[in-house]
Amino acid sequence: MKLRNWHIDGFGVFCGARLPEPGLGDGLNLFLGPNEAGKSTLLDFLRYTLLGYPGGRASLPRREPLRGGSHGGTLIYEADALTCHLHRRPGRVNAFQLRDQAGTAMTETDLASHVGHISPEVFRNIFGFSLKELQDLDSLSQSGVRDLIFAASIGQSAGRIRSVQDDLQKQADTLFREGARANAQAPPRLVKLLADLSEQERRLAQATEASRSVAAKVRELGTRRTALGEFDRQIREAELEIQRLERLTSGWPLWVERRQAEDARKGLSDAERFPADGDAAWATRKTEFEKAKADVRLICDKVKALREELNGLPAEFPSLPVSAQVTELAAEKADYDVAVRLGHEAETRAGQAREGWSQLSKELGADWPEEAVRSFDVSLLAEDDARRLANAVQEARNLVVSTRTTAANLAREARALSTDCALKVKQLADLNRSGPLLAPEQLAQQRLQLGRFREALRKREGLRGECDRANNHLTQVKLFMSRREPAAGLVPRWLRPALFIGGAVMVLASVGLFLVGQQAAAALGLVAAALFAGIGLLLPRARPAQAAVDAAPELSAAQRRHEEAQQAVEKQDVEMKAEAAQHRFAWPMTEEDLTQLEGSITAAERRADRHHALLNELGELRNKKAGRRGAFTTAKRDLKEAKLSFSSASQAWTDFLRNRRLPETIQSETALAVFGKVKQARQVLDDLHNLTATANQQRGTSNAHLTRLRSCLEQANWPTEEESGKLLAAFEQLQQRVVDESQQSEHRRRRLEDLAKAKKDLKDAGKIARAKRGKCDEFLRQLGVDSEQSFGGLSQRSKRYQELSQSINAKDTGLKVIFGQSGPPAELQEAWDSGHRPDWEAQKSSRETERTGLHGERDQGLQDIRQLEIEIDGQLKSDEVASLQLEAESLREQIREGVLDWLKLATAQELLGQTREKFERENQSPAIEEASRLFRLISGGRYERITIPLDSTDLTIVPQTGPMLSLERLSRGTLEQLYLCIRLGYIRHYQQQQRVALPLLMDDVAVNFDTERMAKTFELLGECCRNGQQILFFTCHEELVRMLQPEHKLFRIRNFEFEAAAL
Amino acid sequence: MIPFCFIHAADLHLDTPFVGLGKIDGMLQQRLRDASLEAFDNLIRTAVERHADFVVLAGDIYDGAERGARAQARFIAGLRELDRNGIACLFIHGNHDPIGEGWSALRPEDFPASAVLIEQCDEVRAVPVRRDGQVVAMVHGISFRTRKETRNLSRLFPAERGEEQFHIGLLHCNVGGQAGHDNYAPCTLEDLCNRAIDYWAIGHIHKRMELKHGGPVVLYPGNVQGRSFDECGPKGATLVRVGAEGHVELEPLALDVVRFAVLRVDVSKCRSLDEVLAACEAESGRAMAEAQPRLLLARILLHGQSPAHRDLLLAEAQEQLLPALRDRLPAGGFWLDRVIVDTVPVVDRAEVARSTGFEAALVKLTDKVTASDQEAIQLLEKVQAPLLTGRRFEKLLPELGPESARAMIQGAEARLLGLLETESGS
Repeated sequence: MKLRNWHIDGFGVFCGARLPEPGLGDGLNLFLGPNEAGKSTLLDFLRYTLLGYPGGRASLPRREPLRGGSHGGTLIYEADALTCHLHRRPGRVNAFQLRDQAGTAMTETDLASHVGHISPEVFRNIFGFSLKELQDLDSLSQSGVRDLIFAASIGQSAGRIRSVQDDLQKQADTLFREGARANAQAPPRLVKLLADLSEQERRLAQATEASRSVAAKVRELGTRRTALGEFDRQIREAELEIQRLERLTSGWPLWVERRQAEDARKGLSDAERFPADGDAAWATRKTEFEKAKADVRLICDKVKALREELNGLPAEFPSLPVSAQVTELAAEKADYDVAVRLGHEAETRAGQAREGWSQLSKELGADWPEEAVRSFDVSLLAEDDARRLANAVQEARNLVVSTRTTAANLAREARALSTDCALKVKQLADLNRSGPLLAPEQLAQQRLQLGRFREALRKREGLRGECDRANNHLTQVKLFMSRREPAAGLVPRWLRPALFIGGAVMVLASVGLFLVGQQAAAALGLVAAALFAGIGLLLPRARPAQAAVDAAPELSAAQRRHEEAQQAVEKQDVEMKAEAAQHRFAWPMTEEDLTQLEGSITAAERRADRHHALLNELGELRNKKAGRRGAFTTAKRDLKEAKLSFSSASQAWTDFLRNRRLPETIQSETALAVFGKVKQARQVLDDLHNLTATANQQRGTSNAHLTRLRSCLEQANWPTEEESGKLLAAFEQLQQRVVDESQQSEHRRRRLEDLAKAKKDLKDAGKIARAKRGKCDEFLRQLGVDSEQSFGGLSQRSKRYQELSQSINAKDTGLKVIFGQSGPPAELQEAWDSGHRPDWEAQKSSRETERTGLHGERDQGLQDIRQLEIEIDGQLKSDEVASLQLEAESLREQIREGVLDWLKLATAQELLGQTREKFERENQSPAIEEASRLFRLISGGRYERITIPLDSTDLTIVPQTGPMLSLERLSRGTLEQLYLCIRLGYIRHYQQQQRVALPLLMDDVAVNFDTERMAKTFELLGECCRNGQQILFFTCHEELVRMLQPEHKLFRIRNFEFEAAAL
Repeated sequence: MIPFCFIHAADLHLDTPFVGLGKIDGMLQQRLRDASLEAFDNLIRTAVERHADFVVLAGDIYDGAERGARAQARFIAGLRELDRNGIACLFIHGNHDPIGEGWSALRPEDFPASAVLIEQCDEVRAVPVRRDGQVVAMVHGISFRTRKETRNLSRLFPAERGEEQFHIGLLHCNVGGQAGHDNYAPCTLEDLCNRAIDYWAIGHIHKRMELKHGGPVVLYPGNVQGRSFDECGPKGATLVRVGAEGHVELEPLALDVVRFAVLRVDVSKCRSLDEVLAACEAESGRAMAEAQPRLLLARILLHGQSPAHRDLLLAEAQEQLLPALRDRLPAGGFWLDRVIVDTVPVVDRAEVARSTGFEAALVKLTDKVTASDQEAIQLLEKVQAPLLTGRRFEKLLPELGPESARAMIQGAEARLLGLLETESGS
C-alpha cells in the first residue's frame, strides 16, 4: 500500500485540506510544520481513516472538527494495482466508503486485505511510533527495555505483556507462594487457610473426643446416683433412730400420767356400768314423758271447745229437701234468661229486616211485590243467563251505533272527495283552455326542430361566409383579368353567367315550390331554368384575352366555387324556408324568433306537465272516492246486520223475562242491577221470616221455664207470683235459702267429725304418756337406783370415771401419735417398772451428729451428679461439633477455591510464558538480524550486531571491537538508535512475513539526535525507502530539510494547509 | 387390603456438615448447622400433619460416628413425637452409621415403643405394621454391620410371598452401580424385582430417582437436606399412598430448609458490569421465588462471549465481584457463595488465529496443547507442582483429567485474551 493523497473534510484543525498534486511520493515524505501545526492531528487522521475511528470508550482523541466541515475525510492510496478512494467518518451511518478508480465499490474486507489485516494497535505500535516512546526508554530497566523491544516486535504497547505477567504473578502470590509461612506478616491466603484448617481440625478432634465421652459420663452418673442412694439410706436410718429417741423422750411424761390416771380409775368401779350417755338418756326420757303429758292436756282443751261450738249451731234445716230441685231449676232459670234474651234479639233484627224490605220495595217499585220477589230465581244459572242476555243486547246496541257512525263518516268522506274531483276537473278544463296540449313526442319534436333551426342558421352563416369569400376571390380574379385583358366581344361577359345563375335560381325555387306543394309552379320554374341555360349555351363565348385565357382556369374555379356557395345557401334557404313557414316563421329566422319559439315550447312543456299532474291527482281522488263508497256500502250492510242482531237479542231478553215471569219492563242495561236488588230483597224477606219465627220460639221456651219455676215454688210451699219478674225474685230467694242451709249443715257435720277425732286423739295421747312414764322407771331400775336423786350421785361418779378414762385415752392417743398405732414400746413399761429412765437425750444428740455427717457427704455427691447431668445435657444439645465441622468444611472449600484460582492464574502465566518464549524464538531472530544490519549501518560500523540469547533475558550489543555491551552501557542517543533499528528491523520482518507494505508514520523521533546521528538516521530511512518503504516523517526542525535526498519530498504545513516545497 | 399411607425417607445425615461452602458469616453458620435437624423436624411434622400410618427410614440416619450426640438426641425426640401421634417408625442403618461401628450415647431402650430399629445385619427381619389392631403392611429390612458392605443384601429378602399383604423392603444399597456414590450393598434392578416385595424403600443415593414405577415400585427418595452444590434442587421425602387394590401413588415432599442452586447467567448481551449485575439480580430473584421460604445458597456461573469479559476479570482479580454481587442481590433468604467467571472475550478466535501477533501465537499454542491429552495434563502437572511440595494440599487438589486440564487451559487463554485486549478503533 502506498498513500498518495488525502482530503480532510473536517478533522481537528484541518478543514478541506489536501496535498497538492501529485501528492505523496513512494519514499520519504517530510512534513515540516511548527509546533501546533497539526502533525499529530494528521497522524491520527491517517490512522483513523485507515483503520477506524476509536469507539466511545476509547481514550484516544476523536479530533472533532474545530474549523468546520463534516467530521472525516478521504484517503487516496494505491494497493493491488488499484487506486482506491477510502472515505471514512466516525459513527455508523455512511461511515465507510471505498471505491477504486473506476468507481466500483469495495468492502471493509478489501481494505483489511490492503492493510494486511493489521489491527489498529499493531499498526500504531509498529508503523506509527513517536517521540514519547523514545523518551520512555530512559526510565526503563533492562527488562523494561527488553519488554519494549519485545513489545515492538509484537505490536503491543510497551510493558503490556509484562504488566499482564506481573498482574498474574501478583494475584497468584496473594494466594500462594512456595516457601511462604503462615506466621509471616502477610502470608498468602492459602497458607493462612491451611494453618487455620489445621487449628480447626485440632479443635474439632477435641470437641469430638468430648462428645464421645458422653457415654462414660452417663455410666458415671449411674454410679454416683447409686452412691447417693446409699447415703440416703444411712441418713434415713439415723433419722429413724433419732425419731425413736425423740418419741421416747416426748412419750415418757404421757406414759407416767396415764399410769397414774389408770390407778385412780380403779377406785370408781361402780361407775363403770353407768353408760356414757346416761345423763342424756335420762334427760331424753324425762323430756318425752313431759311432752306426752302436755299433749294430753292440749287435746282435752280442744274437745271442750268443740262441744261448746256444737251446742251453738242449729240442728234443723227445712229447705234442704228441695235443694236438689232448686238446683235443677237454677239451670232452668238460666235457660229462661237465655230464651228471653234471644227472643228479644230476634225481634230487634226482625224489625231491622222489615225496614230493609220496606226500603228495597220502594226502590224496586210496583213491579216487584213480595210474591214476585219471593218467586225470583236466585240461582247462579239464572243470574248467568240474565247477565249473558243483557250483555248480548248491550253489545248489539253498541254495534248498531258503531256501524251507523262508520257509515256516516264514510259518506261524508266520499262527498268531500267528490268535491275535490270536481275541482280538479275544472282546473284541467282551465288548463286546456289556456293553450294546446302537446304530447311529449310533439314537445320533443319541437325541441328538435328548434335545434335544427339553430343549426341551420349556423350553417347558413357558414355558407354565407364561404359565399362571400368565394365572391371576393372571384372579384379579385376578375379584377386581375380586367386589368390585363382587352375589351371583350359583343356579348357582354356577364350575360352568360347571369343566365346560368338565373337558371340555377329557378331550379332552387322550383325545388322549394315542390316541397311546399306548388308542383305547377315548380314545373314552370324548371322550364324557365332550362330556358336560361339553353340561351346561355347558345350565346357565343367571348374570347378572352390571352391573359384572360391564362387566368381562366382560376376564374372558372372561382366562379364555380362562388356558385357552389351560392347554391348551397339558396338550397338551404329553400329547405328551411318551408320548414320555418310551418312554424309561422320567416326564413332566415332571427334570434328573437328562436327565443320566441323556445318560449312557446317551454310554455307548452309546462302545460303538459301541469296537465299530467292534474290528471294524476284526479285519478287518486277518484280512486279514494270509489274506495269510500265501497266502504260505505259495506258499512250500511253491517248496520243492517247489527240492527237485526239487536232485534234478536232484545227478543231473547224479552223471552227471558217472560219465561222467568219477570216484569217485562226490565231493561237489559239495568237488569243486573235490578236483579241484584231483588236478590237482596229476597234475602231480607227470608231473614225477616226466620227472625220472626225465632222470636216466637224463644217466647214459648221462656214461658215453659216460668211454668216449671212456679211449680217448684209451690212444691216448696213458697209464695208464688203471677208476674214473671216477681216469680223469679221469689225463686231466687228460695235458692239463697237453700244455699245457706246447706252451708250450715255442712259446717255442723264437720264439727262433729272434729269432735270424734279429738276424742280419739285424747285416748291415744293418754296411752303414750303412760308408756313414757314406764320407760323412765325402767331406766332407773337398770341403773340400780330407785330414785332420781340416786341417779344424780351415780352420774357424778360416772363423770369422774369418764374423765379419767378420757384422760387415759388421750394419753393413749398421744402415745399412739408419738409411737404409732403399735403403741408405746416396751421400753417405757420397763422403765416404769424399773423405776429408772434411760438418758435418751444423750443418745439422740449422738445420732444427730452422725446424721449431719452423712448429709454433707450426700450433698457433695448430689453436686457431682448435677455437674455430670449438666455436662451430659450440654453435650447432647451442643452444636460445637457441628459448628466446628462446618467451619472446617468452609476452610477446606476456601482452600479448594483458592487452589483452583491459583491454578488458573498459574496456568495463564505458564501459557503466557510459553507463548512469549515461542514468539520471541520465532520472530526475534530474523528481525534482530535485520536490526543488527541497520544498527551497524547507523553506527557507521561501530557496533557489529545485536544479540538476545534465548536462555537469557538480557539484550547485548556486540561492538566491532571490545567486549559485549549491555544496554546500561549505551548512551541515550545510541539506545534510541538501537530502538529505532530494532523497530525498523521488526517492521521489515513483519512486512516480509505478512507480505504487506504499509506506510511508516514517524512523529519527530529524531529530535534528540545530533546532526551526525540525524544524518545517519536519514541515511537509514533512505535505505528503507529504497527497499520500498514509504515513510511519512513529521517534524518541526527545519534543519532536517538539508538531509533530504532528491527523490524525497517535502511538504510544509502552513495555516493548516499543505504546500509542496522544493528541496 | 386396607388402604394406608406412609412416608419413605432416607439419608438424613443428621448434623451433617455442609461441604463446598466458602467463608460464611455467623448467622448463616447457625442456620446451616441446624439445617439437617430442622429438615428432620419437618419430616416429623409432615408425618403428623398428613396422618401417615408409619414412617420408614432407609439408612444413614447419622452422618458418622464422630458427629456428636446432638443428632441422636434430636432423632429420639422426633421418634417420641411420632409415638405421641400414634405413628410408628421403622429404620435401618447404612454405611455412614453402621451398626458395628457407630456409637451411641443414647440407648435403643430410650426409643419409644413405636420406633423399631431393624438392627439385624445377616438376615432380613419382617416387622408387621398395624392400624386399629389390623396388619396393614409388612416391612422387611436389614442394616449394615460395617461401612464397607459389599454383599448383595437384596438376595436375603423373601422370594416368595407369604401373607397377602403389602410388603415393603427397606434397604440401603446401590442399584445398578450409580456413579458418584460408594458401591456398597450393590444390586441390580432385576435383583429387586425378583423378590416378593411390592415397594422397595431404598436409600444411599441422594438424588430422588424412581427406578421403577410399579411391579414393584423402586424409589430413592433422595436425602432430606442437600449438603453441597452437588446436591441442588428440592430435597425431602416421599409420601406413599397404597390403595385397597395395592395401587401405589407417590407424592414428593420438599422438606429441606436450605437449598442449593447453581445459577447459570448468560452475559453475552451484557456490555458492562452493571448489566451483568442486573442479569444476576434477575436470575437470583427468579431462583429465590422458586425456593421460598427456604434459604437459598447459590453460586453464580457467568458464561457467554461477553463484552464485559475483561471488566469481569479485573473485578474478580480485585476481589470486588463477589462483594458487588452480594451488595446488589437480596439479603434475606439468599446467600451467594461465589461467582465463577467462565466468560470468554468477544473475539473471533478463528480470526485471531489467522492474524499475526502475540494473540495469534497464544491461540495457536493453546490449540496445540489442548489437542493432546498428554500435553494438556503435562502442562497442568507442571503448573501444579509447587502445590504438591510438602503434601499440604494433597487432599484438596482438584482431580486432573484431560477434560479438566483442557478446560483450565482454555480458561487461561480466555483470561489472557481478555487482559491483553486493549482499546482499539471502531
